[in-house]
Amino acid sequence: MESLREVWQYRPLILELVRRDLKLRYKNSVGGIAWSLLNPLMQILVITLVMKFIQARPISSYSAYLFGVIFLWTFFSVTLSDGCVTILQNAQLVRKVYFPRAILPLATLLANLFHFAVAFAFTILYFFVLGTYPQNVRWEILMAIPAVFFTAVLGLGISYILAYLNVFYEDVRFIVNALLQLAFYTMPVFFTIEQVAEKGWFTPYMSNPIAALLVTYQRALLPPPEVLVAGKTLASIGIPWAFFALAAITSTLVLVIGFSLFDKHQWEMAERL
Amino acid sequence: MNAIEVENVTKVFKVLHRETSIKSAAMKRLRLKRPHREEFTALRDISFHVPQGQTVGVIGRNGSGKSTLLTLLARIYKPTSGIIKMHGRVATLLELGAGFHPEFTGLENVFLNGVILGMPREEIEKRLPSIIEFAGLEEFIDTPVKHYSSGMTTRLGFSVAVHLDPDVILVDEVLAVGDAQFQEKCYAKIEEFKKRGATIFFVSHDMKAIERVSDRVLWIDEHTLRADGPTDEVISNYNIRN
Repeated sequence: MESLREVWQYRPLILELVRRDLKLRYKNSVGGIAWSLLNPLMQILVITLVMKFIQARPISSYSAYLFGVIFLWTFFSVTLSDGCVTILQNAQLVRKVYFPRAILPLATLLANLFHFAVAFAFTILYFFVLGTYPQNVRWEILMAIPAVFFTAVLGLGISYILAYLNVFYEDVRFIVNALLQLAFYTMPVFFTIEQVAEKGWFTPYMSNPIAALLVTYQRALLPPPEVLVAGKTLASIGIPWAFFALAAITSTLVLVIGFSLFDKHQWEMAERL
Repeated sequence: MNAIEVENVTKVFKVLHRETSIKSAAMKRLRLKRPHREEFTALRDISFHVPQGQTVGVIGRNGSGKSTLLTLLARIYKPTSGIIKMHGRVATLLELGAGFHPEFTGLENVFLNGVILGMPREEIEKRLPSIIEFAGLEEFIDTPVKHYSSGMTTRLGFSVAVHLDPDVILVDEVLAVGDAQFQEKCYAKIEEFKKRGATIFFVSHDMKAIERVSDRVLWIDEHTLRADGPTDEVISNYNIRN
């Protein structure tokens, strides 16, 4: 509790660190913010083209559904890989000035959340260009907010654990990056949740909090699609309320555990750097 | 009223000869070797109080534990046993320009460094002209710090630091920066702090600097407090032994 209050007191420093991250990112680049969009946009383009090529697109407006999931996944995965190295990257500071170390992963998360906000605005714009919006604007869109919020909570919780581990074992970040790449293919990107349900894997699949959050986010932004596989229309799935609730609880739990672990070992970390 | 209270403080570092990667840790486990640990006592049972407004110099040979003492006061490390109490706003100057980023301009770094050291943004803004003038960098304040000479960087760092308005200042070897003229300015600033009643605690190898500003000297030798007394007395003792 004491540690949480201290983190709160250090708001100005958190803000300054976020500002530093954002400035650094855009300092030497001519297109500025456009660059942070480039990578996921290329991904969307490639995936859409590949799916078209092998004629495996299960839904007609495939790229819209990609937009409705890939940026949030990028936010989550970058938060983890950045969060992993945040203590090492700021070792110079950690060794010379006192501040609650817990603000470092938090500042990293907030900077990435800002990038996500830009990507989100771009997503909405794209929906309008595509004609998906305003036709499909429904009140369920509001569910995107808690979906993003709990993705951030989960990302921060895991970041605390990884940042702590990475101080002691420096190859943690390589393992994390490899796992994230692997995890990408298990996310509802190359397939829809309807296809997972068809195979009977809905419950175990959605027990993974990040999968449940991504599906919630996608189905909040867009209505359930008509999924056609082998000439058969699959039962469509809307916002998975129960699994969203489960993911919210899991994420909060992960954050509590991650923060406590980080907090308990924060003194050891400075000595290990 | 004491500004710094140190009671029976001991600091033991655990030097872990542990593997730094999971890969090598796993390899080692396979060969059934246990990680062995060594302990290193950096400070043993140190106690002293510093009343508000006193300037204390810390002397001692390299590796005697001076800097460890300072990092403990700065809350970078936690003492293994004993109690440390600090009263008032503490400014830590273990390194000038902590957190300076080479890509940022001098001005941007002033804000970054100031906030890191605990100064609110509005306060930095208010003192900005004075900070820039003190560093003597009016012409270069919008130049990225990577183009600064090392002297310019330290001057800027020192300038931010002295504008903090702290109650307690912890300083490590930073008075030896800049040319003679800048050093004079630093001493003048320290005198000003002393007059205002700030407590200064600093570590240095420069006996002249210690003699010039301290009211009291702590001599750390072989990880213990060997002497604690008036400046001239402790320094002359120190000079005899070394």
